[in-house]
Amino acid sequence: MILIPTSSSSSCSSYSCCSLPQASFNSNSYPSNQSLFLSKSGYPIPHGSRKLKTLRLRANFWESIRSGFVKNNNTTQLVEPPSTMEEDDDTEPVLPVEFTLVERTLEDGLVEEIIFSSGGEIDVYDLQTLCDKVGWPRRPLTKLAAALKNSYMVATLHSVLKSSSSSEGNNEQQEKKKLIGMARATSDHAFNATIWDVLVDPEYQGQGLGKALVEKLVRALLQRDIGNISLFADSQVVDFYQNLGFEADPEGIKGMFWYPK
Amino acid sequence: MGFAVCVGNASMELRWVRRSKCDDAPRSIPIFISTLKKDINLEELRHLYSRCDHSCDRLSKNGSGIVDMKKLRTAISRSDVVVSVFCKPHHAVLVEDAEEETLSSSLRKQNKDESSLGDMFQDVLPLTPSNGQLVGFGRAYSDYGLTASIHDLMVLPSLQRMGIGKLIANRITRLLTSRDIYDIAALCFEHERPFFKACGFADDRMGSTTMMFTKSLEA
Repeated sequence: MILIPTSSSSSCSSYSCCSLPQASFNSNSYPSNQSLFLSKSGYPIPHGSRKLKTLRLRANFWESIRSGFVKNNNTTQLVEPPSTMEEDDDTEPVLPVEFTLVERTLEDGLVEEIIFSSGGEIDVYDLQTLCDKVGWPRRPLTKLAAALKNSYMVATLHSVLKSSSSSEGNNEQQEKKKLIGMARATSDHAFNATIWDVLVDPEYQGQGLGKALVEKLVRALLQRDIGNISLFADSQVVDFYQNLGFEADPEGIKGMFWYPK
Repeated sequence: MGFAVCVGNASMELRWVRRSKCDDAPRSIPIFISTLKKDINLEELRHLYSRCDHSCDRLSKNGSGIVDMKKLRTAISRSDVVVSVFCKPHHAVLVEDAEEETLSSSLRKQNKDESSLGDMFQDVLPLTPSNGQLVGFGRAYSDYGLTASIHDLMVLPSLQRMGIGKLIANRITRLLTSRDIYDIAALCFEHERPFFKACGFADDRMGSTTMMFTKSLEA
């Protein structure tokens, strides 16, 4: 199951408290020919309460877990994604998508399906195990869960092992689902996106799965007209991304990181 | 850089910034820093983008240079941190005239005498986002857990080198670190690197390479 962090909601609620007294200060004291909420061109800027959004996300989250128990064979629509906000009527919500990338029969008669999924739920513990497998340093689980929840897109690869004898009904005993890959992107939903945390289980590397993950993520971002897609690649994977259409330091653009003194 | 007067709460602040060279323009001017999205006027923001010669689409192959308003609205609403800096309109305008100083300095002095009363009145009025002009901006989006990316940090060219950009960068990083996010990245061109370096940014210590998607999508 996924850890719902309590720390993020407390920081969110303190953020929303700050905006409330502000409204009275500005509107009463100073008449302005430039309205604060609505600019002259009529573009209101939504500033909905962060706390409400967190609560709404939670409700959707539990709903998705409940309904996620229904077995699905490659249906494309799962549940309402948590990323929809009612203020953003015009931006398309990130629809959950799931389809089979590869299907093959193994020697012992088992059928293995590699399923690509975007917008679905991820077990944070599974992800932690996968990160350990690829040798990444451990990160706090609450932060990991928050990062996944608030990423613009999260794409995963799961391996599902099915016993070929079970053709109908009673699948629980004969189906084994394992997280074998993930990639996620943060974005401002309009211009920029950054891809973080691309990883594939070492046992499944070299099969083009990582390529498929990144390709689909990039394609989905481009479809939403997000033009600046960036990432920070370790030296050993620079060629991997170059083959996918990424360029190192294009036009002299470099990423700099903040380091506290 | 002068002292800071806190007005209201932590999302708004009045400060003084000082310029090193001193022409006819006042030595230190008050600026108003806001971290609230509702203080942003989108038209003014788009104007600032063009005055700073800053494009939302970083790579020259993307976009036409004109900021799409609908996308800008989305980008602002989806940025987790926004910092806007305002100053009194006559301070921003006066400094711009300094570029033409050699041609019309005497004329400008005349005008200044005539409008000095108006300026005095403006000086007395407290500075707020509604009566101030947007002269600096910066925003960041994050995943509220591990990482954040800073974008579109810009200050009006005529008001640069006064510490405003550094104020904005520090405010953004402060807001992010207060939410326990320490992996903060900023994409910058070659000429922007010294600025970010001065704000405490550096090349990735893990030696990663910055890459951007540059392939055009075949239909």
